[in-house]
Amino acid sequence: MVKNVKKASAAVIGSLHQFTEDEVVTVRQKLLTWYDANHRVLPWRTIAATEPDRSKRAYAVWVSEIMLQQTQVSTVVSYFVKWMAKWPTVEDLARATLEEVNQVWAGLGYYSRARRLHEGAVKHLPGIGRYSGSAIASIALGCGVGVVDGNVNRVFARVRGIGADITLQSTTEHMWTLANQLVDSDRPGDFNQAMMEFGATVCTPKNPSCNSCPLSVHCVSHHRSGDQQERASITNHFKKRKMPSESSAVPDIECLPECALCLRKEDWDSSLGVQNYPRKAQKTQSRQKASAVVVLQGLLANLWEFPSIALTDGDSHQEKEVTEQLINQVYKILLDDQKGLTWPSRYQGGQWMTRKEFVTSATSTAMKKVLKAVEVSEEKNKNEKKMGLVEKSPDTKKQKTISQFFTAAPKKK
Amino acid sequence: MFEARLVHGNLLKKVLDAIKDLLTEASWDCADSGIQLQAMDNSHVSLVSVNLRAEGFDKYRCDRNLIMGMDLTSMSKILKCSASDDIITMKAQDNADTVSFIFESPSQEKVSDYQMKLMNLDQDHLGIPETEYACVIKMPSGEFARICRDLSNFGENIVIACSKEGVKFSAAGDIGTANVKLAQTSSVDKEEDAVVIDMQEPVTLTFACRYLNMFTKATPLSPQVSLSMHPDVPLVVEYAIGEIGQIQYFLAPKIGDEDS
Repeated sequence: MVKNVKKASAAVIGSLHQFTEDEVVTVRQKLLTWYDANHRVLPWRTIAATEPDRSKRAYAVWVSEIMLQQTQVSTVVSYFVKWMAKWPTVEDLARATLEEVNQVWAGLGYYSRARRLHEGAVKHLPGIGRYSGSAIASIALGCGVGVVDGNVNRVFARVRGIGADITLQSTTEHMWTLANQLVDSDRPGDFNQAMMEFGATVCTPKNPSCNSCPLSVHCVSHHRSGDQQERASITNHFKKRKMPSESSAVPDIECLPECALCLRKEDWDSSLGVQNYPRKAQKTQSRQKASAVVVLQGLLANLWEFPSIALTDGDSHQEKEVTEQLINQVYKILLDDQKGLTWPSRYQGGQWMTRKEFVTSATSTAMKKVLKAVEVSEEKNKNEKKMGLVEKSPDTKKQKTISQFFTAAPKKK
Repeated sequence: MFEARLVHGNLLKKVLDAIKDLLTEASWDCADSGIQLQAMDNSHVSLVSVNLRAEGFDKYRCDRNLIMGMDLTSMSKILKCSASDDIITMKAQDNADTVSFIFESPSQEKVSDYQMKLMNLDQDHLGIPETEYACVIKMPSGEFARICRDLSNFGENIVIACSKEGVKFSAAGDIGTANVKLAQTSSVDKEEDAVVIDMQEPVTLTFACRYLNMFTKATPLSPQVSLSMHPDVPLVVEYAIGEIGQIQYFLAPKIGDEDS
C-alpha cells in the first residue's frame, strides 16, 4: 500500500522504502512508548512543556535547536542554561551585542550559528531553514509537521533500507515525506523529539543497540544483516536467537530493479550490518591546512584569534614549532618568529590581551588550545631541553618532577 | 690514574641491575673519597644517587678527580660477562676516553678484561636539600618489593600513609581497591626482618607505581629498605650496598590538581 504516490513520480521508489498504513500506526506508537519511558530530561524540553508564554517557548526551542545543530546534547546543556540565564527572551537577545553573543557561544563551534541567532532576534529570522522551522513549529507550537535531522535520516535509512546518497535532493525529499507521514498529530513535538533521540541513543551511527530496539521487526537493514550479525557475536553464537515471527513484516527485501533509493548490491558490506545505512557520502579528500599562528579578530566569524597566516606546503619555518592539530587544520605555533609575518589584510584590528582577558573574551576553542599548547611547551622547555616523554597521568593527581624540588647545584670540578 | 678493586664483584653487578631500567646513561664521579653517581630518569620524575665509599673497596686509588660518562646498557652487558664470584677491577687513565673492567676468577686462573668507550655527558647535578623527614620506615626489602608489585595490579598510583598505628599502602583502580597495612614489629629475631617506624607527624603521599617497581630492582642489594617521607617532598627509598655504600632513589610525589 503506497501512500503519497505524488512524490514517487519523479523517480521510481520501491514500496520497501515506504511505510504502510499499519506500519505508520505501530511504528508511531512504539516510538512514543519508547520515548515516554526513556527520554532524557533537558532544560529546553522543560521550558517547551511548562512555559505558558508561547513566544518564550518558541524562543527556547529555537535557541536549543540552533545549538544542537552539529553538537552533542551533553555539550549543549551548559551553554543553553547560560544563554537562557543571560537572555531569557528574544527582546533581551536583540539588545545584546554580537561580541557578547560570541563570548557566550565561545567553545561551542560553528560560530556563524551564534551570529544568525543574534541577527534573527534583531531582524527577523534568517538562518531558519526547513529543519529549525519544523522543529520549532512542532515542539513549541504543536503543529503536526515532521522533522528530519541527521539522526532521523539515519533511522529512516536503516528502517526503510534507503541506500541512496543522503545528500541528494531526491533522498532528502523522501525523508521529509516519511517524517510528515509518520508524525503523530496529537503529540507532534514529542514524536519528533522521540525520533531524534531514538537516533541519538539507540540507532546510533556506530554500534546501534539493535537488540533492544523496538523497531527491529520493521527494520529492513536489521532484517538484511540479521544473519551476519548473529554470527559475529559470540554470545549469540551459543544461544542463537530466532528472528521473531513478526519479521514477516518485512516480507521481501528485494525491491524494484530500477529503484533509486536502494543500496547498490556492490556497496553492501556484510561486516557492517545495519551500519551499511545510511550510505556514506562520497568523501572529498579534506585538505590539511596549516596556519602559522603568532600567538586577534578574523577567521571564525568575529572571534578573537592569534594572528595567523595560511601556510603553503613549501613553507618551512625553522623556529621551534609546536603543532596543535584540529580536525583538518594544523596550527603551527611559532613561538619566536624572526622573519616577521606580514599582517594579513583580513583582520579588522588587533589588541593586546592579558592571559585572563584572553580566556574570558570571545575566543574559539581552537585558539584556547593554541594557548594551552604554548604553555605546555614552555613548561617543558623550562624543565629540560633534552627531555624524554612525560609520563601521562590521566588521574587527578599530577606527577611532579624532581627538579621542582631540587635545584641545580654548581658543578663540581 | 684511577683504579678500584672489589672482591665481591657481584655487588657492582647488582648496582647496575638496580639502575639500568631507570637510567640509560650516567656519569660516575670518581674522587679520592669514592665513587658517586647522580642522575634523573628521562621523565625527570625520579633521581638516583649511588654512593660507593673508597674504604669499601679492596683497593682504591684516584689521583685526580674523574668524571666517567657511561652508557649503562653497555656497562651492564660487560658486567654480565663476569661470573658471580669474580673479583672486579675498574681502571682508567687520567683524561682517558675508555675505561677497563678486569674480571679475575677467585683462583686467578681466568682473567678477562673489557674496555668500554666513555661518553661526554653534560648532566646537571641537583642539590638535595637536607631534610628532617617526618616519617622514616625501615622494613624488609623483599616485603616492600612484594607490596609494590601486588598493588601495581590495581592502579597506577600507590598511596603511602604513615601514622602512629603503622604504615598503609593502598591502590585503587578498575578492578577494585587494595590496602596493605604493616604494624611496627614488637619482637624480632633478626633486625632486618623488623618493621620500624620513626614518626614525628603522620604523612600521606601518592606515588607512581611504575617508579617504585623500578626502585625495587635494588632488592638483591640489601635485606632492608628505608622509606623516608615528608609532606610535599620527594620520597626517599634507600638500600645499603653491602658494606661499601648506599643507593638512594628520590621520587617526586603526585599532587592534587588544584594548584595547576
